[in-house]
Amino acid sequence: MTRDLRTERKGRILAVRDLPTLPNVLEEVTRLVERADSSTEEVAKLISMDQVLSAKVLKMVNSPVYGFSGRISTIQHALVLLGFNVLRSIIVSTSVFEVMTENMVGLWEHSLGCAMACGELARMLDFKDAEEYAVAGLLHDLGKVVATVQLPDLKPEIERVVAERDLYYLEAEREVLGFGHDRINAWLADYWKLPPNIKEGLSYHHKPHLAQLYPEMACVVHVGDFIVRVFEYGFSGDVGVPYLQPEAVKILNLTPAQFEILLDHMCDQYMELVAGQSS
Amino acid sequence: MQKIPLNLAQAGMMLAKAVSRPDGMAVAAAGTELTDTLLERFDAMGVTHVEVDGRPVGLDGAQTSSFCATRLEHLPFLFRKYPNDPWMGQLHRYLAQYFRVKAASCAVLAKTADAAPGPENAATDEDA
Amino acid sequence: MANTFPGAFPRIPKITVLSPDAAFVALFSQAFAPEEAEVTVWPRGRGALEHLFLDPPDLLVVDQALSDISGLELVGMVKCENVYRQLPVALVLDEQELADGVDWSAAEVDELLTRPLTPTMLRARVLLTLTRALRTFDANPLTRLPGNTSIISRIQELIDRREDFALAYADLDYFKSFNDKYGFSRGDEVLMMTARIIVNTVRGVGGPTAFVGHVGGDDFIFLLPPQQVEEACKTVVASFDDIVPHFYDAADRVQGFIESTDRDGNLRSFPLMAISLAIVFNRNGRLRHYGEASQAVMTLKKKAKANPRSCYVLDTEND
Repeated sequence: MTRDLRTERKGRILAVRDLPTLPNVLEEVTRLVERADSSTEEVAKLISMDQVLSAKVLKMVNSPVYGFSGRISTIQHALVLLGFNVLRSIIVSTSVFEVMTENMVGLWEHSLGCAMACGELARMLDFKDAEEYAVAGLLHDLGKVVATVQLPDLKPEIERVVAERDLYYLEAEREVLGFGHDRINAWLADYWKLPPNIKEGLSYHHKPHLAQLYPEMACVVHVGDFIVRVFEYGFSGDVGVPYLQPEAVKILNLTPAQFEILLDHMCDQYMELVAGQSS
Repeated sequence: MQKIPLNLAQAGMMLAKAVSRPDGMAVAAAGTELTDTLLERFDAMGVTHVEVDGRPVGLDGAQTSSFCATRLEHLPFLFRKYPNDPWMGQLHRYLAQYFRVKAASCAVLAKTADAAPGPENAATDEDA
Repeated sequence: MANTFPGAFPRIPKITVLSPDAAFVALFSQAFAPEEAEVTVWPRGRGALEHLFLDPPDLLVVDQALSDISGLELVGMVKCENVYRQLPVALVLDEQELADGVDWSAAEVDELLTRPLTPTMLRARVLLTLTRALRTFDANPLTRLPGNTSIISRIQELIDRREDFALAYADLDYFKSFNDKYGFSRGDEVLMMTARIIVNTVRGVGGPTAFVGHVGGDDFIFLLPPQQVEEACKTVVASFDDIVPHFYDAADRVQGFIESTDRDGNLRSFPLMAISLAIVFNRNGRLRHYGEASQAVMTLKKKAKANPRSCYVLDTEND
């Protein structure tokens, strides 16, 4: 991969203007925001289920225009600071994917599933601000969405490599694009001035033992991703568990007993989601 | 709100979503309180599931069991890239045990629930 | 209330026109009635300068075609003095002069009037310029919320209309120690955050036109109907307490206080910042002048600040 090509692709990634999302959450959020009696909490809860809306909200509130870049890491706080007027404008300017594939829906489910696992794990480990871990879990594959939108010509190739050679999506990305979604996440987090802990969760979840500043965040997302793949809730581009870094378990002081409780919680939650979906 | 199989629905539960005939005609609106008569009517119509308010039914033991059984079945494929890694092997075995035990215990719970006397089970004695 | 002078003017606005063009000058008496604006005309530039500096008008209209000095040059002389930088200036040009290009960076012109001009157009442009000038002059440089002049004018307006309202004054406790430890930049971030919380809460409760002002520093004001103000205060307090810890470093956030030097140079620990709100009411036209309101609220503020935690205090005597 030449530096020029990489720079060019990075440029295309960062040039993203219009990130579309799936229609169901967008419609519901629109409806909720139209109602005069909706509370910030209600809206935040709904937005926290969609990675694109969450990313847009965090990007807006951390923009230099507001004057507190890199400080706001939960949707609830972001909405308090943005207000419904600004939120409405974000929603109105968000479009829907023209062609919705099963894989895309699967990615949304996977991200939500990861967010749930991360939130549950953070709460179990008594971490302050468990919501922030859920946010990182929700956004950990955002780079894949942006790459789909900004480098659409390369996506079929990535999928082909995954299918033909049974590589991880991350490995295929590195081969085809020259970089993985974790790298894309890091670029986006910098460009959008997201808080540093979120950035680390987004860019180190595949190598949590290398995270310097916020190791717990990276490790929680790493474990959350592992869990949602064990339960196969949603689709992240490949099927199979990632290597679970033993250091991650150590850093989090995660005991087998806690792991089992986490499995129980997630088993219940994913089953409920699946049951709710079947016709 | 909860979507439950018809045989677990009981009089007194409130419909969260309307029930319609296949041709689209509404048979019972959302907010209707279920009665035995209504439930018989649904059954005759061929309705298999209803959505009710609240969560009157705990997670179905049988469903959980089958969910966990599927997870157990898929584990080898999920772990296919690590046949020789001791740590991942350990994890694999741990998870296999977890799902195996859970599937079994939920199946047992489901069986005892089925076997317990109740109106909806009266006709299905042979199945227990 | 269309087509009139902005309500914030305590007296008739003064307009000074520097122009040799009689026809142009005549437009002013056509555009404005004498009780609407006091228009002073100078046919030449230099003579007017000293008077402009001594007694600046609310709006200065300068004809580029002055005989003794170019309009732009005169504007430059006036505007380069910081004292007069806020004075709105309109430059008058023939349309064909525009084609030759004007160096807009040569002097700080705020509005452009091109001949030929109708009285209607003149009136509209003048009103717009005055309104705009008031808005920008008065806006807090950090939060861009309206400042003192607008606040006073709005309160007086409500008093004059005998409208019931609640006036809430908010300021931050331990803001100085935060600034001292973390620096002005982060202090500014906290102010921006506070402004957003107040604006969104007040507008959420009182609608998009509900008034929020920034007096300066960490002092804010908002106006709401009396029956809505308590709800707004509760929400502001809750939101502030929820979000402000994130502006501290992790260690300080966890321990719940910071160490900083007080005014005498002694090391002291200070709690996390809190927001104090003091609310006074105007019911049944009790207040006559904004000064009464402002004094009442400042007195009540002491009570609110006596509590080291975020709180709001309602003026129950006059509720």
